[in-house]
Amino acid sequence: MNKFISGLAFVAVAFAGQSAFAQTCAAPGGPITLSPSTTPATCTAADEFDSICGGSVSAIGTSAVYQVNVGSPNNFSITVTPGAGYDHAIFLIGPGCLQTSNCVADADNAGPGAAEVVTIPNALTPTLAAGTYFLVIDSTSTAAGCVPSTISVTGTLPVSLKNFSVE
Amino acid sequence: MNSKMKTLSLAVLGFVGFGAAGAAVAACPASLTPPWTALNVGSGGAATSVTGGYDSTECRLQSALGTSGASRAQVRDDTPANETRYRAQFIFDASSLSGAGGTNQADIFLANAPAANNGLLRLIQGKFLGAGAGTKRVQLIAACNNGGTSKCLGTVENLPNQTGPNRIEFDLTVGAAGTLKYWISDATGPAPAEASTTGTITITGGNAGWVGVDQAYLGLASPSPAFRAANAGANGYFDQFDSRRQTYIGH
Repeated sequence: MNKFISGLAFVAVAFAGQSAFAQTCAAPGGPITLSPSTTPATCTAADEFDSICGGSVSAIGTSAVYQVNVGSPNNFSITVTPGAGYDHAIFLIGPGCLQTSNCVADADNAGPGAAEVVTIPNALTPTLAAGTYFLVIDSTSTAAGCVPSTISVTGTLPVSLKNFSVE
Repeated sequence: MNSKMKTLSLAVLGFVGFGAAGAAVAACPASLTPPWTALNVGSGGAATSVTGGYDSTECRLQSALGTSGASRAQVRDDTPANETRYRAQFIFDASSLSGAGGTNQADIFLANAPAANNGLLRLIQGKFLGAGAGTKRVQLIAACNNGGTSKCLGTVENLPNQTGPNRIEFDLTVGAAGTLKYWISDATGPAPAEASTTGTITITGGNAGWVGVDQAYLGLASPSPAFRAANAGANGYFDQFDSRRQTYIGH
């Protein structure tokens, strides 16, 4: 049986080199969990999302997708900082990784080169059920040219404990 | 046979849309659901029913966006069920929006397929656009299997009424020989005859891959940076949404 443990943690995952992942829904980067890890990646993103948030929001940029495993209870923020002045937007979507998937959090306020932050809980999502979600890095203002990003997670993002024994 | 999928004009049904049930005085409902399937707001967007409806209706939808590019202030209609013929009409009043700047743009209407095809979910995307001279305009974009962007662009049309309500209607056929016709007129006057279209969009390669209209959104969303600079917090107004399968709606 799996148990969930939670705790305050900080994870800084830098994506700066070559990735083994395509950063697509079928082969997302990550998964992002509490476990400290570094997954080097270049921006190999395709353009999977012409729209997002149930198809209600236009997403005109190329998209990079990272899997986020969320336990319960949870309380966390994800910060994505782009390089080279790129004006990105970030969306945490799920269940599923589709244009029709719900947005449980999104941010696109900061402008070119600045970090965007999504936080759970928020007004849109007071409670987030445990499960697999997807962080989509896209743009609502720039049609092409995604750049490597730094992704940081703070807060409580419980991870699943696969094995536990007492001897 | 005409099959009306959803009528949200207070003038027609009197108790749905943006008006209040049985209201004896001007009072608009706190909730837009029902009759709409869902309210879709986020990232600083706000959508409410307010007084001042058009053409003798009591209330209208007031939609305003925030400073996020993901801002949305829409109502959603899940009534369509993979409709291969979809005719819809609504009133759009951009009088409180600035038309300054050609890159000043936001979505005003969306008709989505049940699933993305060629990476595109939207069968129809209706946009508000400004212009260098400040003229307020709209454009319809249709999904099409053109072998490239999968988007066939309609002509950018000036809103006939720059300071009041405009009536926007379109007629979409989904299939190997898909078509899109549309009518845009000043809502304070008579609607154009069905034969007098404002424009058509050539659906290059057809649009059969998108199956049909499965969901519609009405309201402002997805503001461009220029829209956010010029129109954050400004109100767009919508009213009298009506969607059908067969007959011209007109007035």
